[in-house]
Amino acid sequence: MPLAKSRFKLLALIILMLALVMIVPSVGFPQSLEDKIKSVLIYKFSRFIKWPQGVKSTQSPIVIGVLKDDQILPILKSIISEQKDSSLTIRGLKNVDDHASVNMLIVPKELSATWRDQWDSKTIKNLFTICEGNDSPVKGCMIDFVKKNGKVAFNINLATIRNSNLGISAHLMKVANKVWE
Amino acid sequence: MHNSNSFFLIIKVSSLIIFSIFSIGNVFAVEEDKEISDLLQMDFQQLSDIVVTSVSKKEEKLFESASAVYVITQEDLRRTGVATIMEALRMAPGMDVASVDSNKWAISARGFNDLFARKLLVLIDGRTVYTPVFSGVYWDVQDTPIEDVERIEIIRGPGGTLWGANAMNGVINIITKHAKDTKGGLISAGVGNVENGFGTIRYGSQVGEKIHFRAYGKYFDRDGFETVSGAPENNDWDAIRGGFRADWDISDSDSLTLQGDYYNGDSRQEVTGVFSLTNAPFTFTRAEDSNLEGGNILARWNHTFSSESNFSLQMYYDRAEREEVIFNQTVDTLDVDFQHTFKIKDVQVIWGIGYRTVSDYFDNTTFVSFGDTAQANDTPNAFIQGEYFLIKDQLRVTLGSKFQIDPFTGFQAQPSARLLWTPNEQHVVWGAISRAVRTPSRVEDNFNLNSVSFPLSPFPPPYALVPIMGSPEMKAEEMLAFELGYRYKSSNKLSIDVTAFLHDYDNLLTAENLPSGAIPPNFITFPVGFDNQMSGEGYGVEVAGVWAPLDFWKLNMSLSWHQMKLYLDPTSTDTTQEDLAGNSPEYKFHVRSYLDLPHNLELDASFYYVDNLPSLAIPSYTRVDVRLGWTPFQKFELSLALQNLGDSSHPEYSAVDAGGIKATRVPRTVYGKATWRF
Repeated sequence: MPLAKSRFKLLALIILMLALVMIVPSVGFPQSLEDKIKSVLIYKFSRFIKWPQGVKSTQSPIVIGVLKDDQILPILKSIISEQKDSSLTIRGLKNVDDHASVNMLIVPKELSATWRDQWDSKTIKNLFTICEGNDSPVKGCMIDFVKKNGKVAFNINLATIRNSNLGISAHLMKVANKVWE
Repeated sequence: MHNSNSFFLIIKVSSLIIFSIFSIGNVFAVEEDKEISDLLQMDFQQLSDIVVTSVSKKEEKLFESASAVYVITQEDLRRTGVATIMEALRMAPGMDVASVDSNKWAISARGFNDLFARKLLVLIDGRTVYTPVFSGVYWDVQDTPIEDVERIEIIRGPGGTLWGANAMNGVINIITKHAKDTKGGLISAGVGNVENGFGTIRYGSQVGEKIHFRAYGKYFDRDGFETVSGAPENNDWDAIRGGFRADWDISDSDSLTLQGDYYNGDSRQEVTGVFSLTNAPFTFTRAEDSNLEGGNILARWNHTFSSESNFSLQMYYDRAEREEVIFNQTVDTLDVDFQHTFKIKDVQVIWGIGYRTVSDYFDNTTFVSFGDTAQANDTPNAFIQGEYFLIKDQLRVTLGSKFQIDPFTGFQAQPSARLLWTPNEQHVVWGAISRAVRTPSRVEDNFNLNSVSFPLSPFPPPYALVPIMGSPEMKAEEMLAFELGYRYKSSNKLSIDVTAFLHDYDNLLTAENLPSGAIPPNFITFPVGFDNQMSGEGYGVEVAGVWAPLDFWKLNMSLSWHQMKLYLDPTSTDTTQEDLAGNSPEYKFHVRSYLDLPHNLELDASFYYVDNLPSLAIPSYTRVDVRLGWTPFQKFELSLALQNLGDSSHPEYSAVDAGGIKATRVPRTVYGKATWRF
């Protein structure tokens, strides 16, 4: 009998824990501070990129494509919505191949290798790319988010930017962690 | 009815928790909108100055650990004003910490609390302080200076896969500071109504750029506590201790640590037992000082091959001598451990081998005697553990096992499987299944304790004599543990840690009646022998939370609920061990507050509620501790600590079964302390 009582309590305990595990995701995971800072930086970067003539008319918005990332995408969407910024549009992308429809491409860390294989500076022009986690120049990445002493920093790969007919403000280069010529 | 009430209670608690989670979710949404608005106002420089994760890799690993870990930091030790490491352990959720008297503690995790809690392993800088004589920890010689402690890591639940036998219900790792973090001088001294006086002096420096060292000395003298019956105390305590640590950063890839301690103290104890077989009434109560002396020296070499590959080689020698009224003992421990971490493809592997040899020497008394008064026991061991991400950066599985050859029970394996899901940096869900063992002690193997004698007739002799005897047939106590945990942290302001566990025990120690005999001319003996005729289960929930609502105010809380059921085998005649289920409280609650005030003042308070201990007739109690700290000048601090403000005194534990040690009342205490760093 004592065993039956304790098993009964145990069953109730397990139900409680399962309920917790199921409910917590359903109330939505709060966004991490790191993702928020990256999203705000991406939003601000868009104003410091120099696009070549003809790529973007003053009426058409810049399209930011976010590859398979469910963390930054909703934050960027809420920023643009709250700022009522019609100069930017956010689009979630399922595949690397979808880059042709966007002006800026956000590549999460786990897709960096796939994107590197896809990148061809001769055919892919006028696309500004933002990657993460690379502390040395990586093929196809123009800005790279890195963490320095627990803080979000970014490196700029100037050579890749220039090869893609793009430009970047000198102000952005001043505040970058590293600028690779 | 009982089942029904429990069920509805759990449903009510569940509803409250679920409602709280939904409410917290809404609060987060509002907070997040505001946070993003604030970030948008910042320029690039301001954005790049925000710290998003802890710089300490260790802290990140603890959050992402697939086990129930709690860390007491140096800041916690300072701001709670605790005088001993034992008192500090009260802060950890799920820990049972009770003062037996002024120099003895009963400390355990997840039940089975006792003067010698057998299922909790304690290490100081990788050196075990778990005694193989009684199975447990002599807390009266664990007196590392509080100021030198970097942190105390408390792992509740089985830790046998990495730490080996006896880490059954928990592991405590006391980690001291690197020598380069203690450069300069420190003098601290204090006095109070129970603390007659204490002081620590420490000096650290460096030789060249790469060698840092420190040396310390400390002394304290503490009054005893009054017994529950109001009798004068016989449990005062004093000790002197000294030690050193040197850290040599030989190169970028090699470092060497050398450290050691020496202590000499007296802890008075009053013991009742059969101290003579010739002089009636045979059973006497004796109060004497126990002389405690010992020392240790440890060397550790760390070598780093790459960021993913390193090894460490550690060796230590420890001598512990105790001259006690019950018997004298000297225990020498020599331990060598090698540990190597590397990566094969995507699997992080850690493996190690170790060898420990323990030599003991006992002076028998009539009360306590050993068949072999000297033994040397060797324990070779090895472990391997692998970590692999099933889903990159999100779902990690950890498989491993410790293997050791125990001198009393032979080969033992302690495997575990752990799964960790980190959907993002703020949430962690983990689960674990582990096997752990507690191996028999020297006492269980080979001792005789003449516990009581009493007349069998109005005109004795004969007298009855009840010897408690060890048995070489003792098996290891076994446990299969199931754990499920969840952690959340938000912007360093709020964190929650919830763990549920079920421990399934087998082969638990019992004391069985043996055939009676005689010791002419006075005694008929009714011996009791150790055996393994009990099983059981313990289960519960532990919750810990940290909330820093304001920059100058931080709250910590913990809540734990624990149930234990023990079942004697049908053939068992034991009458005592089943009561261990009632030696630990069912509910515990703790909240502490750190408040920074203007003019360099700190006001800190802790509140504890501890449920009753039905087996020991200890009623529930509350405890309120308050500390006021003031730093009038840089590097000079004054503090006043008041403990147990809620009542004048209360009992926390009774260890009468352990040699008739008297239960005492923990008094209200106050002490002042000054600390000067230079």
